Amino acid sequence: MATCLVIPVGIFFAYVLAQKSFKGKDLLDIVLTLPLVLPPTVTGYYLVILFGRNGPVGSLIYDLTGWTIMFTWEAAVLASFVVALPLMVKTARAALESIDQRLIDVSYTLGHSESATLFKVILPLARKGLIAGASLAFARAMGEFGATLMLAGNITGKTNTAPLAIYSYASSGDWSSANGMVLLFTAVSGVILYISIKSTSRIF
Amino acid sequence: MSIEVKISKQVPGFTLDVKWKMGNEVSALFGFSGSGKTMTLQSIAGLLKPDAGYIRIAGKNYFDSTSGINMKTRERRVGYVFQDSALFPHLSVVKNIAFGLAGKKSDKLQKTSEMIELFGLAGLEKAFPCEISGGQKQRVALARALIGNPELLLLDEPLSALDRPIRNKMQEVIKEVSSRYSIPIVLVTHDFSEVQKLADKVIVYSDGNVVQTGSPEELRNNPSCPEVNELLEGAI
Repeated sequence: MATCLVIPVGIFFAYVLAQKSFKGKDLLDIVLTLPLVLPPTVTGYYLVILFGRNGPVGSLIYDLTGWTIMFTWEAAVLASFVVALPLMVKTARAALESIDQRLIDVSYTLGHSESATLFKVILPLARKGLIAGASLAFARAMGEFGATLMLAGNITGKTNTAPLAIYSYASSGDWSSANGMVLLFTAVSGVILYISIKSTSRIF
Repeated sequence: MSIEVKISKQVPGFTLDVKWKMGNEVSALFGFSGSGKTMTLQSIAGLLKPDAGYIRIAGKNYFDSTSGINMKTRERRVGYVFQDSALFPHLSVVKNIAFGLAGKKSDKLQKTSEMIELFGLAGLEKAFPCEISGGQKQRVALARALIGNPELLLLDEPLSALDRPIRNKMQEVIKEVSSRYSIPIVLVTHDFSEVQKLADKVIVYSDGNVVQTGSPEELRNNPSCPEVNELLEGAI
C-alpha cells in the first residue's frame, strides 16, 4: 500500500530534482532525505506533531471530517510512506540523471511535449533504476518500526505491522511465533534485495 | 525559405555574439571547437535561450527578445542530428524513425517505409541502435529528423564519428537530402574537406564571433585573418 504511493510520488520528486532548477531545491532535497538519516522515532515524532489531532495538518483533517489518523492502519501506511520515500527518490533520481540529455532534447525537437517525453523516453530508459528504487522502498516500508509505533501504536489486527508483531512476540516470550516471523521477514527482504541488485546491475 | 540569426548569449567564461543569414542552401558553421557553433544550433532549436537578438525562419519569429517571443522547442519545426546520432536505445530502428509522427497508424507506416527506402535501411527495421553500424545510425537519425518535414535541418558534426569511407558515403547521402528537401541545412563542422564537398556557404566562427562569410572557394583563396588560415591549414 505504502509502496503504491511511494512509486508515483517518488518518481515525481525525483524528476523535479533531476530536471528542474528552482529556488529551494536543496531544501526540498534535504527534507526528502531526512527520514533516511533521522532515527525513526524522530520521524514518527514529527509525524505525530504534524498529523496528531492538535497538529496543523491533523487538526485541519479533524475539523473537516471528524477523523484522526492517529492509531489507525492509515497511520502505519503514512509512516511507512515517509520513511520509504527517500530511498525511492534517491534511486530514481540517480537513474533519471544518468539519461543522456540529448535524447530528451531530440524528443522535444521531434514535437513531443514534456509529459509525452517523460512517458516515451525518460521512464522507459530509467526503468531498471525505478524498479530497484521501488523494491528498496518496499523493503524499507515493510520493515518500518519506529515511526509506525509512534504514530499508529501497536494494536493487534489493526496497526501491528510485521516488525511490531515480532516485537510483541519477543517481549511476551512467544519465541516460536517470533522465530517464524523473523525467518519469513528475512527471506522476503532477501528476495527483494536480490531483485534490486539484479535490476541495477543490468541497467545497460 | 531563409534563416536570419542574430543572437547573443553570455555564459561564464564565454560570450556568443553572432549575426548571419542564409537561404535554401547548405551553410557550414566552421570553426574550432568551443567557438559557439553548437550553442548557435541549440538556440535555433530552442534548447538554449539567448540573452538577446532574434531567430527568424521563413519570416516567422522563433525567437525575438524585443517582443518577448520564444517559441517552444516542440513548436519549432526543426530537424536536429547529433554527432553520435542520439538514437533512442530502447526503440527499434522503425520506432526511432516514426518517433516524431502523430496521427493515423496507416499514414505513419506509409511515411516510415518511405524513409526506410530513401535511406537504404531495408532489413534493419526491427534492429536496435546497439546492433547497427555508425553510418546506419546516422541514416536513421537523418530519417527521424526529416520524417516530419521540418522547416530546416541542423546537423551537429554528423560525420565526425565515422570512418573515412563511410564518411564519404554519408556526404553523398547529405547531398541527396539537400537536393530532395529544399530547406536550409546548417552543418556544424571543423573539417574543411567536408565544407568543400557539402557547403554552398561558409560562416566562420571564432571565439563566439563570426569572422568571415563566403563560399568555400572565397574562403580558401582569401582567408580574412590568421585564425581562418590556421583552420584551413589544420584541415588540409
